[in-house]
Amino acid sequence: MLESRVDTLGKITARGTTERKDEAALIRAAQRGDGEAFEQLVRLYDQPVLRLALNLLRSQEDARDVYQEAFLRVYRNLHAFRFDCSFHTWLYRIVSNLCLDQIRKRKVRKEEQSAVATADGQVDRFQFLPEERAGVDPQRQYFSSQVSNRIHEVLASLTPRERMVFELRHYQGMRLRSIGEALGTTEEAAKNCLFRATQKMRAALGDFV
Amino acid sequence: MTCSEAQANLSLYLYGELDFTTEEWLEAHLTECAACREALDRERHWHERLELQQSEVPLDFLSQCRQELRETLGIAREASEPGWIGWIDSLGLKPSPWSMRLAMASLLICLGFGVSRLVERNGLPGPEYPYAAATAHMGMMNPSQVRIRSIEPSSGDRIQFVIDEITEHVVSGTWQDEPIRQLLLSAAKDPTDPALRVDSVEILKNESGEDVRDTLVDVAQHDPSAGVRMKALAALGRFEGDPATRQAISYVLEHDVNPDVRTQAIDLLVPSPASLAFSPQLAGTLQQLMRTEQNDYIRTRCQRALAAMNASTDVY
Repeated sequence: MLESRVDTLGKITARGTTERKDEAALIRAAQRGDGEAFEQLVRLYDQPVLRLALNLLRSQEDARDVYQEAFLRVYRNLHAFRFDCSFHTWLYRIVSNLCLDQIRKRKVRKEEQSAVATADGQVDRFQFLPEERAGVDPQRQYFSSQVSNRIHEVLASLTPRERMVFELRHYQGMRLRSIGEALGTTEEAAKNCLFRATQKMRAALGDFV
Repeated sequence: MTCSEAQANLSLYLYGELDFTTEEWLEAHLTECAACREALDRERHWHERLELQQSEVPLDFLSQCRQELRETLGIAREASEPGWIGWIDSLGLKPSPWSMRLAMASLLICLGFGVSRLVERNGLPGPEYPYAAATAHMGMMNPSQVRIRSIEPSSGDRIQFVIDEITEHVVSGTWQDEPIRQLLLSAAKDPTDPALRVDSVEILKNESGEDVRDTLVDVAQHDPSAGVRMKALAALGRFEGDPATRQAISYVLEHDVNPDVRTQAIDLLVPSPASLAFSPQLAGTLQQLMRTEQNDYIRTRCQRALAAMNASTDVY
């Protein structure tokens, strides 16, 4: 176990000493088949991509699938990327389509929901993830879970597009113009989506928090 | 602008996504309307509350995803067509069977022409990498992995090359080997990759020694990622009897901006208030914290710990 970990560490530490290339140079190098450059490109963006997928899909398995598929598509189609839009927008177009497909598929297949039924009512499955921290105060946990439940409920009540626009604006900090580009729609349509989403959030959370 | 119109636009205002005119109207309305200013405060509050709910990507999970992607890409590369097909694709050409044959024929003609010219000039070329002689002459290491990124004319008659040297080494060994130890300690502070830092801290948490403790303290205090700082704090748990470590954890408790990290720090400092012995230093830290801490849970923990030590919750 130690050996394999140290192999990885050895490789990446040596790499960390080389100068970071700028994004366009990385893309061009990756287009020429430079695996190292592609890996650096992935590392520039993969954390927010994974966060977006986790937030939207609320399932590690689904988020992992979206992560793999998104970067595999980037790898396969990078040669056709012509710098017509930013790489960030192009990547988010792929990721948001994959996430929306996944959400729609779930609706059709009536797959397991993020909320599960318990004796205390509907509870988000993320609450069942093991709590690593020691000595968690039950009172604090109760209050946090109340707020989390309310937030997750209202997020779940948004339409997939409203949810996507809200996530991209609120958590990923993208401007509405870029969100429109990534979702293949206009800035105005993205703005309307965000407007509806925040109306719902305000109605559910305005007096609660 | 009416109050209901103003309040409907508060989120877009906070996001900075209103057009210029609407923003002007809203700001003018807010200066005159106390109810809408209160509504703006509530709006800001639930925005902040949502921020707190935002959890970081578990770095173990990120690391796992990266590893799987690396494996998937390895398989994809092996299964992919030869490189020159990708190169043709990159020109935006979808090769049909006929155009492929034509291209192959042209390529062979060009190759034949080029090779004959080379042989004519230099004799038969050896298998050596083209830049080998030049780069070796300039003292660069491992010429087979040197790549010219760009060539630019420089001042006078000089020519400037930008050259990438990529060196990969696979090293393995045990914790007792000094180079391995040093690599692990440096990897815990690698600024480029949080997942790498987590992997390193994960291994370090089972090791002892002053250098390990100092590295973990440094990571817990200064790592830019809250997830990594929490991992380092958890790893410091085994040094909690050490005064220097407790001092470092107190520092994190007082200064870290992330409430989850501070929560972890207080859980480490006061694990069981019932059996807490009085410590002037700890009491001082907790009393100081009572003045500044906004997080309810941390405040409650402070109060309980101070009560268990029979210390006041106030600072005089």
